Amino acid sequence: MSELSIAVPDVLGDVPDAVERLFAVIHTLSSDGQITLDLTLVNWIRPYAAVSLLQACRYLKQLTRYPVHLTGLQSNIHAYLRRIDFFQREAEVVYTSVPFNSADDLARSTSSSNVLELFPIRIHEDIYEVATRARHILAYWLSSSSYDIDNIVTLLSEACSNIVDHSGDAGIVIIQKYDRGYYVDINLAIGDLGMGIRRSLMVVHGAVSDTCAGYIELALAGLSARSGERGGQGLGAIRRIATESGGCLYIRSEMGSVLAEASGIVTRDDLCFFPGTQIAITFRSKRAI
Amino acid sequence: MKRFELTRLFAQLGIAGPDLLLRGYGQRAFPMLEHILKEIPPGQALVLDFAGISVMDTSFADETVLELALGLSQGKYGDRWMVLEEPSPATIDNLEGTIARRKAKVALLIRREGQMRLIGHVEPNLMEAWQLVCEQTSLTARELADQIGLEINTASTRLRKLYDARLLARREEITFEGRQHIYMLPI
Repeated sequence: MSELSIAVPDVLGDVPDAVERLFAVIHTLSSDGQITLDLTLVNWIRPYAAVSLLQACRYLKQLTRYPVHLTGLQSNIHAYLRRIDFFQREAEVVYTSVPFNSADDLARSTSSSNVLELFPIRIHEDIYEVATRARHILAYWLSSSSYDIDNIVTLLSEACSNIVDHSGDAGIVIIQKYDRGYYVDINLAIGDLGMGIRRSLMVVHGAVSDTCAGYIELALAGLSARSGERGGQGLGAIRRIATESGGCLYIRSEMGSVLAEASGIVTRDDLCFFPGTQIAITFRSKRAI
Repeated sequence: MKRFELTRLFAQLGIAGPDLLLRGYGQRAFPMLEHILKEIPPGQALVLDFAGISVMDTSFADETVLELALGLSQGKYGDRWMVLEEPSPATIDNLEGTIARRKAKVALLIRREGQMRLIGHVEPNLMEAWQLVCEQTSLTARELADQIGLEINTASTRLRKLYDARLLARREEITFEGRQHIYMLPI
């Protein structure tokens, strides 16, 4: 069995667009033998990158049939990945041989934790389950704002339901809090390796755009992958809630991406192919002063 | 008036609450809610009580509340009304977003903290008439015409449109001047 070791660039702590360098690396790999991803250069990791890394490992496992080996984990990266159940969630897909002292594990208590670990989304009941868990931890994070908590639950349900209803794959979601002084950013990251937005819309509507980003824009505008009259509400609702809060929505699918902010959208259609849909949502909650 | 506590859907849908989420669950809830609406006597309103519901998401609202409202405004359920009582602010945002994205020409009656209001699609002149009825408890076309300086036919049309949209109720009255309708809120 051949082994190939690839250095992952230090982009996992950056904005979602920067994570494209990870997908570019994945895109170059062939299907021969085991893949080792060397994370020596990686100094920080954020939720969208964690979901992307896990989906990349799932994709490589599908290509090579071997689980991906992660090496070079710095202790803070290793602790974070353990905290979000990265290795536990997809044990047959990714593993590490880097030693770790469990005494260095990050705290898991609801009151001190800033993250809701990776949660699999396979069926609708999973969405109710993750919404319940999210409500529990959001009550600690955003104690004064039931309005913000309700909005985040809506973001979760609308984003995750697209996985179950349209992707044809199981997905994954993670939620993390970042304190920013006068406000709190809640980051949601959701990913799957399913049909992607372009293909799911083409099944119903045919070729209605020339680009992957064009299909994402159509989905944001309300075009539904359901054959009936109704549907197509979800991404538009996510965009409204995220941008009205002062946050943003980033959607990547196949070779296109759309970043939606209050000021407008930025599209890209020059990305390396990666299957499915990856989403990063930032919801901004103002602190009561 | 019949009140239905939406928390009763938790058991019927097999969910723990406090949220009503997802299109599929909305599709399952719709026949139950439609049955309850059809069961109330003509001339009465169904009050959907949101107490205990933290949020109803966009997709659930699209399959339930919006479908019922469209059916009411199309006359599918006869002389019946629907009032949403105490939906959370996030639920109201979701309902308004659903109506806007679907470009549905429909409005919803909301009662929150004792105050009635409309959300959704309402033409400004109809909103003005509805607010006058709301402030004065009841209004005839003649009274509306006199108060805002309209032709009686125009005032009558506006009130009739609000009645057809099931945003106002009305009763008929025979006076020495003839027959007239008195318009009022349905609850």
